[in-house]
Amino acid sequence: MTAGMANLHGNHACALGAIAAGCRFFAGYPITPSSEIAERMSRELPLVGGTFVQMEDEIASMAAVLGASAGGVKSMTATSGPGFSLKQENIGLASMAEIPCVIANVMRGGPSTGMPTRPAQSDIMQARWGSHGDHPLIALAPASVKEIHDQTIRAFNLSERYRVPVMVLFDQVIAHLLEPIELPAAGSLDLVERRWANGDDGYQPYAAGADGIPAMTRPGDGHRTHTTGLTHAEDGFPTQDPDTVTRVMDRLLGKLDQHGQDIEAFECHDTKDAEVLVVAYGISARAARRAVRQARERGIAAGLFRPITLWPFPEQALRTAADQARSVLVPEMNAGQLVLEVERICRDEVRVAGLNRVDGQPIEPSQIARRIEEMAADD
Amino acid sequence: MKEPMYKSARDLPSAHLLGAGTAMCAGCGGLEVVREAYDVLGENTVFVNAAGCMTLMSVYPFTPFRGSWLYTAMASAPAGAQGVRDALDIRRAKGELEAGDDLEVVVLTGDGAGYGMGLSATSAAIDRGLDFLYLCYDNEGYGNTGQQTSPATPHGARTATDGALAGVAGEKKDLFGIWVANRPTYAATVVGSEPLDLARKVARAKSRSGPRLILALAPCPTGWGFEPSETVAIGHLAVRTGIWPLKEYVDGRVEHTRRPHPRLPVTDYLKTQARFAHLFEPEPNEQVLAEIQASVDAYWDAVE
Repeated sequence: MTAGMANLHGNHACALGAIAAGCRFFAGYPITPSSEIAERMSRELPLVGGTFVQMEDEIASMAAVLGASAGGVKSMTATSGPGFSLKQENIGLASMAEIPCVIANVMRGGPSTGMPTRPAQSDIMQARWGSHGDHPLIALAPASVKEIHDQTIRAFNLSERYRVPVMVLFDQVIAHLLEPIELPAAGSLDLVERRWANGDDGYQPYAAGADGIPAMTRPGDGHRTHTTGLTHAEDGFPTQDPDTVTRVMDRLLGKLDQHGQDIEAFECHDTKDAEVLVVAYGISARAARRAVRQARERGIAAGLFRPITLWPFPEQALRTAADQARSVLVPEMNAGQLVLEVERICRDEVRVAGLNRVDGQPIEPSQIARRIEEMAADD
Repeated sequence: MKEPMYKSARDLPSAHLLGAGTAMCAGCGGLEVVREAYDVLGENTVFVNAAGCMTLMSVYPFTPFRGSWLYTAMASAPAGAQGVRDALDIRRAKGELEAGDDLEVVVLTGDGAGYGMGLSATSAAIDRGLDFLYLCYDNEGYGNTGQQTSPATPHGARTATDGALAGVAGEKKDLFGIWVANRPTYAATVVGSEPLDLARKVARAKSRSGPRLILALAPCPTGWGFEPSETVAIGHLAVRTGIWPLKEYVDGRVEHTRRPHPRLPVTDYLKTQARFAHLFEPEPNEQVLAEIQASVDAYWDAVE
């Protein structure tokens, strides 16, 4: 696609964002409602010298993405709930071996097959804890077609910079929503390229400098690569020595902490004096935005905090936004997932409540507006 | 179990077990096969269905099935069938099931699971000698998600993920051959447009125990691009061009139950479907057409 205005579905915007970010490998498997990402990639990648491959299943798709990334090419896959479940073990490997990769998960109603053609926001906790063990990762939640495009680009940048899997979580509504977006001109984007090892003899694949991020090597660049899912020391080889494990795991689990400002993206609307704060993400945040505006028109001091980065959660930013709040409302298209994190972060005296839908329908502005009014009246 | 005799179309069951009005597409070749096979399998069948088009057949409170149906994740239907078979055997041993309740466990999947994602589970079920029948409706693509390429998509076909000028570069996987190499009790290919051949084979499969395959070509109006009224005609052409050989593996030997003679040119079949239209327009892709014809010719040369 050339630069300029275009009418795009969210799924196509995701594919084009990935191409713009430098993604040159996509491995996937058909699954509703994400299939159009794969289909678009199958058409776009050959035009830019990339490779699209349809794998035999979701596990293999994720493994191929890790292989391509370890081989030195920016890589991604796309899926939905059931496929996301199958990818989890390999996502853990990406966290452990620090292999950059991007996973788009177009959320649909679950559990199990659930409602393949209906939207949901029910993989928020799976995104964070779907793979076993403690592991670093980043999850982003765009709320519009334009933002899917931009956050997909950002996902690649974060993934390449911090060597973590980055998930782009959106839902069936935005995936299939048609919105006008402006596509950037080639060369106008700030793209992050992975830091490659420089060929020193003393190269330690998992030894990091002050920023906590080791330089990576790839086959063909002169180093012998050894990439394992076993707990490994700085030299990349397995270890079970408690002191070494503590040291390397402290770095692995803490490496995102010092880069919070770069990673944690969010938006605040009318939060400064907000007594009723709505915390919403993705499609629900669009309904919340309107509800908050309506509440303001009726004289209620309502505000919206919209995390774009869900994991790691922008904790300090929420604390600041909720500073004046007496109550916090978290509308989500699930049975109550991010609300747990919000509850944990807010002051004890703040009343935190969820507004949940699990019926495959987006939350309506009027539902949120009604709850805002109730909460304001209770305060 | 004694095998019922189907000498002519008059012997085929006249009452259909599968209810009408399912959510399948009009003219679905897979539904045609399930309907015909179900009449022979009987209402005591327990279906174990991996993700695919047929998982949409039952929309509560309506189901076209007379008996039970269980969903499994896409890769796992034969593993789910193992559990169902074992549980039924346990309950039968305990006397909880009447002798007459001879429940047949049937795995029902499309080609996405059958040829691809579920193949490992199939292989393991055959290894364990699981007593089950695998009914695969092969519509040569991921029909339920918009006809992306599957391991069963034929050479030259265009799909949602293979839009290149020449279509799919690879060859359709020989699932029948893979099953035969694993020496199952029985394996056969069928098509809904040949109901007598289908009924005989399903009856033969049902009369045996152990791992058994019924592999059905399922012409797909939406995925292949043809009018729903053409499903039967396209099934006939698949057989008469030699593209879909009707055969069975029984007692260690592969026998063809129909030898098309004379064989029609493959173009008679290909030109009926939009997925092959790029091979004819704007001008014929003689190379790919010749490759497809050569592949069919080579198959039958080896047989004859």
